[in-house]
Amino acid sequence: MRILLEFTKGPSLRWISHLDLIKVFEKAIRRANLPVALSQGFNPRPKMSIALPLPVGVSSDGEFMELELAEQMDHRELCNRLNQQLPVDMKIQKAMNLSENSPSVMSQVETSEYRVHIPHANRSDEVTNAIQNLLAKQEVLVRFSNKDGKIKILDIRPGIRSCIWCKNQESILMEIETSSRLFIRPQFVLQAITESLNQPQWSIEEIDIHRVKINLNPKIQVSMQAYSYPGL
Amino acid sequence: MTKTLKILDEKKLISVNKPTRYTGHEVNQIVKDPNSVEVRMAFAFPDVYDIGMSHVGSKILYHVVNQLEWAAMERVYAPWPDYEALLRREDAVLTSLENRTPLCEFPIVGITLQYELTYSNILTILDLGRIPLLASKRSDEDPIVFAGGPGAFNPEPIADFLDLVVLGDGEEILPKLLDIYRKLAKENNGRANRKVFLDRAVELEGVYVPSFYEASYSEDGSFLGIHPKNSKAVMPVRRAIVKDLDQTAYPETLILPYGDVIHDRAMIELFRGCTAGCRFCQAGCIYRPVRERSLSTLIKQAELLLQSTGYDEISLISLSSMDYSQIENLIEHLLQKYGCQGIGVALPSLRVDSFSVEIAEKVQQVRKSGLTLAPEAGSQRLRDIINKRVTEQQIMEAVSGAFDAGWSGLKLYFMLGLPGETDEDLTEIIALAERIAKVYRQKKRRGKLRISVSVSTFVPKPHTPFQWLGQIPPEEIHRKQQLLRSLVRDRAIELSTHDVNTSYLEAIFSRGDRRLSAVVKRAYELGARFDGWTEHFRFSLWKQALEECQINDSKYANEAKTVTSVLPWDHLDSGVRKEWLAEQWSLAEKGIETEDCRFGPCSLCGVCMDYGVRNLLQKGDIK
Repeated sequence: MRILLEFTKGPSLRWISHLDLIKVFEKAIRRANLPVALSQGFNPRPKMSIALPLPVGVSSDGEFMELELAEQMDHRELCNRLNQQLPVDMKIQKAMNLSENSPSVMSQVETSEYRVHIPHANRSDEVTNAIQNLLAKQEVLVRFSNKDGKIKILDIRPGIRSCIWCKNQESILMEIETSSRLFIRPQFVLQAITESLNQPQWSIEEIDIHRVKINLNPKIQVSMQAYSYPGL
Repeated sequence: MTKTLKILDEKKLISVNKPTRYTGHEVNQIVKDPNSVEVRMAFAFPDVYDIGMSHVGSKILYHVVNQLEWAAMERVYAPWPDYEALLRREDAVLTSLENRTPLCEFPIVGITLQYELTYSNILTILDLGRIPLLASKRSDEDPIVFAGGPGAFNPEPIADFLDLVVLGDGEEILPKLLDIYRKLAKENNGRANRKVFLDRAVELEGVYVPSFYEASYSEDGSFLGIHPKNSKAVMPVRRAIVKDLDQTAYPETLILPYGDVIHDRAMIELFRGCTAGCRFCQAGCIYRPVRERSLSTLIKQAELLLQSTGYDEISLISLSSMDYSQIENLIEHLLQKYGCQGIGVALPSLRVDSFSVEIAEKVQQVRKSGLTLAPEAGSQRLRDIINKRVTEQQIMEAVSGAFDAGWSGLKLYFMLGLPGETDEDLTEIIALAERIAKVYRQKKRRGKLRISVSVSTFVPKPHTPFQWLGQIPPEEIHRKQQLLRSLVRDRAIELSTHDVNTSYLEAIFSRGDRRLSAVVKRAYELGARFDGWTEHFRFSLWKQALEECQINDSKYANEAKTVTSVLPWDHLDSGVRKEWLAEQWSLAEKGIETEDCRFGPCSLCGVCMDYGVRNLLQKGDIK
């Protein structure tokens, strides 16, 4: 029985790393006494996987997680029981069945939408121009260092689906590709914008990055009767 | 009070390692509205969050205080150097985790003294919490600083920083102290008057107020004694003892840390105290007598904790869990009830005998773990001196049983620098490990054998039969460690030893007096932090501080005293009588063992007579 859960990770919990988040779920599942399927091996664990790791410091309104149940369970009850056990500021907002032959949710991530809050950005027009310049280009090369500290160069332009400056939210809203074929971090886009602004980058300590949602391949086989957690 | 205090903007945490050490919001933390309670207390653990969150004593006190409707306890841990640097860069104040309240705004700040090498961190916490370091400089607007824990039995080296010290078990006395405080605060319509509070508090058995006493020294710098300065100062200060542990509160839930901490599992405390009588062991003296919790209480506590945390492992905590009267019944129950759910049982301390290994084998069927045995000394002669009543035969039976049960790795704990130790005794450590290796090889098992031999350096501790001894000099520690290393031939044996300077500093502070407060302060100013951590420990800073304060450090660490000497902690009563310690010391010199009074005759340590307590063993049948 495969279940797809959509959940939030509020600002107060944004410092929890991906691996620690898995432990949060494992313990919450145990406390909620959910009939989960367990992995084989010496230390059995609930069979679950999170669609896309959320970096430390980033909050989210729409994460996905796949959970395997050993027996059928009402979605409403599942959400209720799990939500009672999750930290405040974290909520399961939707539960739906995933058909047995559906590919893993991890493999179905296509794009992510982010809201990057840049307080006191009073040069609105400048930012808007910079974004327009960026979108007008055929190629946007970004230099970054990977996990091993090696410098890499990546063309991020094909992965930018949309990018706008939203003045009243003091935020850049963007949809970028986060699939296994092309994985773009919001920081890459910010980097490209600030480079064309011809002035120092925003300090990482000033901005707030929030994932608004993850877009999955629409072909993912989800049952129609999704249960939405009320009051959200 | 017109201090403006800046609280760190959380966004800045992006630059520190493991930010969840500082953010709180964990499942099961208790956050009370500051306006809804009468007394608020911050509990400061002077080491990093990962260590502090593994400490059972803090969890008990957190539960006990927060259970009171009118009181709240919030946590704070020593900031790791990267976070300290951030706070300083931003000129931000250190706050509690629960309500992010600046430390200086708590009327009471309690510090636990678990280890001498956390003393510099105490000053970091006070300093960043905007609390004057010296108790004598604090006004009524500043917090009253409490301390407790095993280090309270010789708090003299940090006495200048502490307003009040609790000797002994904290769970019954702390609510009483807070109650005194709240009544005075109510009368005052704000904070209690520091002087009035200390005058009242000191009337409770177990409370020591360092400023009520003064020390004197001879012209050549020898310690002459501590004397009361006022009529409130009693001599000696007696210890707070919980008579029946089974009747005291224990947490029904535990805060769940997000990041990795040292012991991330449920824990139940089987009993407090240990009467095995190892002569080097401070815990074996200051926590007497043995007070066991009943089987039914422990079973209930285990259930509550596992339900409310979702942990998949429960640890059975005490100074020697295998000696719990109902250990077999308890483990059987836990395995039967939780084994099928994949919940394992962990045993932090094994006795060196085949019974322990059998139990460990049972337990590891759910969750595999390593096996650690502590013979403490390599030769029978030396084990007799330290009263570690374990024979070579028992050791061999234990390891043989362990190998039969499938372990191919073992950890063995020893000490070097024990009284009466010769080079032959050290040779015996390695020889013993080799004999163990031989046992394994005779069994012709397939797995690769690994025996890790950890040899720490003996630090003489106050209130033990070895309290009069000095530590062997650093050069001698070096030589003995070298000797051990030269003896290891077998490639299955992996030897590890402790840093010489760390043990030396530990010895200085373990048996130190009030003059060392100046050293701690100076070393802190010079930048000493996290001295228990190899990556941060800088002995040169301490050396400089000791010199500047004109402290003869080797006198503190290495000088032996006579049984008639006045000791800096003589005014603090641990419960065991000095005559008993002296008798134990003379028995040690003769290599004569003393039995465990749980199973043999009373050895007249004095705690039961002087405190009206007794060993409380749960020998009866199970219900």
